[in-house]
Amino acid sequence: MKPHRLELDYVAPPHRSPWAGVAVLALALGVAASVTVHYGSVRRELTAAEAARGLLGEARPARAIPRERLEDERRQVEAIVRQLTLPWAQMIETIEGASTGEVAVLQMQPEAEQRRLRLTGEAKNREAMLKYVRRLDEAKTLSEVHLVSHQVQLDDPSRPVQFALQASFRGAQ
Amino acid sequence: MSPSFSAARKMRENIVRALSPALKRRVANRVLVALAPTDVALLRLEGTLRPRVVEKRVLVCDPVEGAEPWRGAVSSLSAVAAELKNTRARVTVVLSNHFVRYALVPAAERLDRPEEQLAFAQYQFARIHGERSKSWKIRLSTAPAGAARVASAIDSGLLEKIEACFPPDGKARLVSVQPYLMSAFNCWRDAVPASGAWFLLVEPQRSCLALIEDGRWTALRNTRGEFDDLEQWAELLDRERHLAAGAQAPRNVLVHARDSWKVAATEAGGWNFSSLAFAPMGGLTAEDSAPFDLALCAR
Repeated sequence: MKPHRLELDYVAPPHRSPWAGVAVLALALGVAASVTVHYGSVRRELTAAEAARGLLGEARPARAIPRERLEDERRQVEAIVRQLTLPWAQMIETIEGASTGEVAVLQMQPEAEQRRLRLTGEAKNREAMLKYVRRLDEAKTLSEVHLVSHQVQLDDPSRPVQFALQASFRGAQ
Repeated sequence: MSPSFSAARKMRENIVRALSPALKRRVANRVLVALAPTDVALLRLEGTLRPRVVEKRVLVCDPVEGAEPWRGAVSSLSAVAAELKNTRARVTVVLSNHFVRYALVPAAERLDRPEEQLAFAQYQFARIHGERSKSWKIRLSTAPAGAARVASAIDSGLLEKIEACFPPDGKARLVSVQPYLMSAFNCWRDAVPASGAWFLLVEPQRSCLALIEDGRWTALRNTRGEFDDLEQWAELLDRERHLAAGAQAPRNVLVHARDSWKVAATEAGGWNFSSLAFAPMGGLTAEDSAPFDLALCAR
């Protein structure tokens, strides 16, 4: 066993083991190193964030968009606007008003581009079909109502007439 | 290099150059003083990691100047301290074993408080030295549990006189007053083998002999007499071995004596003597170090 130090000093306080101080120093250095590393890391992140913010903040040069694409987009927007500006309510009201128990509407297909309406229906007989066409033609919202085709359904015992007609919206540009 | 950077560096160099002397004075200056009946040896050191002797002095004293053997040494110390009053330094005083009494205080497990332990040490001195020990200043060292403790005692007047040489508001500040045994043992305790050894300090007209076994102090005697050669050392050890230790005591002896550096190891009377010597120090050759042996122990 190693002998203890002799502590017989008449002025100085007893010598204390330096290990406690060394341990505290080592701990302090460790903490300082950790803080330094963390500081460096945070600083790098801050620099990166500032750089990113600088990139975002600057007015970026406008990318050249092909004219064809612009035209396509413009056409799409116009088509949507035309679809939205069709007088749907009046159109449906007109078709409902012209309907009778002898005619059934099978399909209604507006063509916003040409501001036309294609309509497919089935009538009990030919006279009912023609009356229906006339009634539509008399409506205020439709004009130029033409019968495009008609055909008697021979396989049906009641022999209905299936027909297709075309009309223009009144006030079409 | 940019002008601002160059200017900043120049300013920093100027500041360091201006502060260096002040820092040196504040941090690195140490004064080691050894007080013995016949001389006062002084070393002034500079440098912290590699101290260097920048001043060395020996003042001869009159050992019979007063009633106590330390009167002459303290007079010389007072003169030296007056010269040092404008020197910023930390002063350590090493006391010759002529001025110190030692005792081994048996372990007293029931005494918990430091005051009780010190009172027990005082009692031990009173048993040996009688009533006069009541005025002595006593210090008690630490020891492993169950082991005897080393105690030292000096005259109260000696400590008061030393402290008076270095007033608290002076530039030379007294930081330590320690017995030679403490300085030497702490300097070389790593040289004590685990199996144990005798530890012998030799001064003119004085020897201090201790036995350390398994890290414990088992014998300690501070003796006045002639101890100038190996035969006298061997006789002292033979006598002490019979008194304190017996046949099982180690035969190796660590010796610190004036001119120890001349002989590293030798054998006499069945004892193996190993000299304790200092590592070289800047500004002081081995030949010149003999008068400063005591002071150097506290470096």
